Amino acid sequence: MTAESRRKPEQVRLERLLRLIAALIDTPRFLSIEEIHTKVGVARGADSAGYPENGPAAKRAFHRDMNELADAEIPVISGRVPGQERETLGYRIRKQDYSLPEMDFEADELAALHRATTAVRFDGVSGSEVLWKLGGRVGEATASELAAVPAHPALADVFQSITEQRVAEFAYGGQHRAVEPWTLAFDQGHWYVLGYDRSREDRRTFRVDRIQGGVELGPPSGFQQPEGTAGWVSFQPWKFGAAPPVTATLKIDPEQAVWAARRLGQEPAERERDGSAVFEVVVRSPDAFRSVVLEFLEHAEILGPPELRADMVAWLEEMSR
Amino acid sequence: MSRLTAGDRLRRMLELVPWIMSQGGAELSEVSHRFDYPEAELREDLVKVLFVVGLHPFTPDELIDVMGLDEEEGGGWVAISNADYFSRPLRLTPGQALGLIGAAEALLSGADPDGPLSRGLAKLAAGLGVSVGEDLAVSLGESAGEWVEPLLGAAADHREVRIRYFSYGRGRESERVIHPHRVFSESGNWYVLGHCRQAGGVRVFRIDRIRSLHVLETLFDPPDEPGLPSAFQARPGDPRVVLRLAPGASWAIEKYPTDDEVVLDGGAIDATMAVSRISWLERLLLQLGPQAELRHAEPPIAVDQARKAARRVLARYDDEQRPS
Repeated sequence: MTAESRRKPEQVRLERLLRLIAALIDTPRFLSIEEIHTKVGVARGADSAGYPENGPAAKRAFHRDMNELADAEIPVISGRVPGQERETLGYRIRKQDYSLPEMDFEADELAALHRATTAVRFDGVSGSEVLWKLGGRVGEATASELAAVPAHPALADVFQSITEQRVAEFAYGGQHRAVEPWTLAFDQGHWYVLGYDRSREDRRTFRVDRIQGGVELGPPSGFQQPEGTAGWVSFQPWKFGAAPPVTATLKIDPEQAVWAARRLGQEPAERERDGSAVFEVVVRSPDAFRSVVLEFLEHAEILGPPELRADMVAWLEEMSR
Repeated sequence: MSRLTAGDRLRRMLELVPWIMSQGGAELSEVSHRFDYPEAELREDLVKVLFVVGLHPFTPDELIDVMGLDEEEGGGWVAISNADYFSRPLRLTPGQALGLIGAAEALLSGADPDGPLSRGLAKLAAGLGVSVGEDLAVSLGESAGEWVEPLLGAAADHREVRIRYFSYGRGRESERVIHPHRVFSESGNWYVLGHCRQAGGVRVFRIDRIRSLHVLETLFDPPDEPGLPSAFQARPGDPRVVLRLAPGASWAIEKYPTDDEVVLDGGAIDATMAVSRISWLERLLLQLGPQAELRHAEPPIAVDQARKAARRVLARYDDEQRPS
């Protein structure tokens, strides 16, 4: 090997890690730890990369390297080494797991994606590492961050289950759910997953931050999404629920009318003389409807139907005591 | 930048090697910029490390070929070959794919459909097998669209802006001249933070409550520190309340900053928080109903603020429904 002037310890370590990854990729089968040691080589002196000659020390160094690879999220898989009498655990990296698909971005596209990652920060995702994978940082970052999107431990798993059609199982509201997830949506500051709940035999929406514990992913292509179920309707929770739909008549004071049209996502059905706006709102969740009406405090009034009006009055009377 | 660890170098090296190979060679300075790799360190790592990486038994034909980078100091051109195992960058993790597609999608509304962001996102989605808007829908607040762009422009150019603003707390519109310091999105709404001439101080405005907007010719002096990007930023004089939330109702405060949170036996939470507008607190209390209770309140907030608000709203329903 070419002798170079003395290197820093992190450079020697880098060489060993690169040799290890090269060896793990360049194999058609699982390699035992001993085989990996041979392929990576033995260190002879502080400036020489490779594993210590001493067996237990080499093993420790190997496991330290594997942790480093796991930190870099390099997909090392383990399995049985073929042709061994005793069952021996081996390791390898499959090229198809490792490689980013071809995408060939133009420089202006990379620059636009760069601006996007600096303008909208996803908690827990390093924007620069993502950009390196696409061909590096191009262009200038935005002057300041526009928005931060919260993360949740279950989020990446849920996303993967959607893109690979894996059934997702998790605990929610104290109960076990098996869900065929269709859409992940960030709306009104929260993450939601919409899909078919196998246990309820119906379509359901879940808040990702209320998933309790981890998500267990089934095998890929574990379900088929029915036609026409794709997409997300902006979050208006009173539209979703188990109750049969009723049309509520809601009167809003003149000053709040424009804001109400935006909040409800619809134009008023009529305008009264004083400028008050009357909305006809389809409600499937009375609780969620009461909640949105209360956002307007004394500037809104449910005119009908009687049961929704009575529900509001009962709620307020309870609180007036 | 602090000293790069072996892991920092590894992450960069695994991505820059395939890029240099795909380009058939590149200027060292460009590689350094694209991959945040200080040029001197990069040169050393290419010459002293990558050059000696290869496969067992490490004979010259099994080593990576690093060409260029002659002895001269600084600059130079580099090409890499004989590294088939490093010919592709690493795949994106699900979390990274989510972050990248989500960030691009969040900014897409209002962007040119043939523009670079749309094209980049389309390639990304196709490459990763993700249907944008179907598998993933990200909205940072939708009704704010038309004013975000002019406000961002005014903030960048330090131009004053005249707005007609609907104040939800006061229930009426007013005309204001503001110095937009910062535009941001939080919890599904877009906000502009800036000095308001009428209020005589820095305020946060919800962009979807701006009725009309004119960017003025007059310039303002930007502040040294544009302030925290939080819509619910407490001012020192704001009254504090202690809100007791039933177990399971803690989501109600998770998007608002608290001074203190105490979890009680049984799972209830006592949250101490600043209240900049009483109407905000009333809305929260009425929505939570029996799940929340004020344990303590500083004037002008009353401990029975929920009851007061409930009676006021109930008055609207007075004539027909209320038992006489």
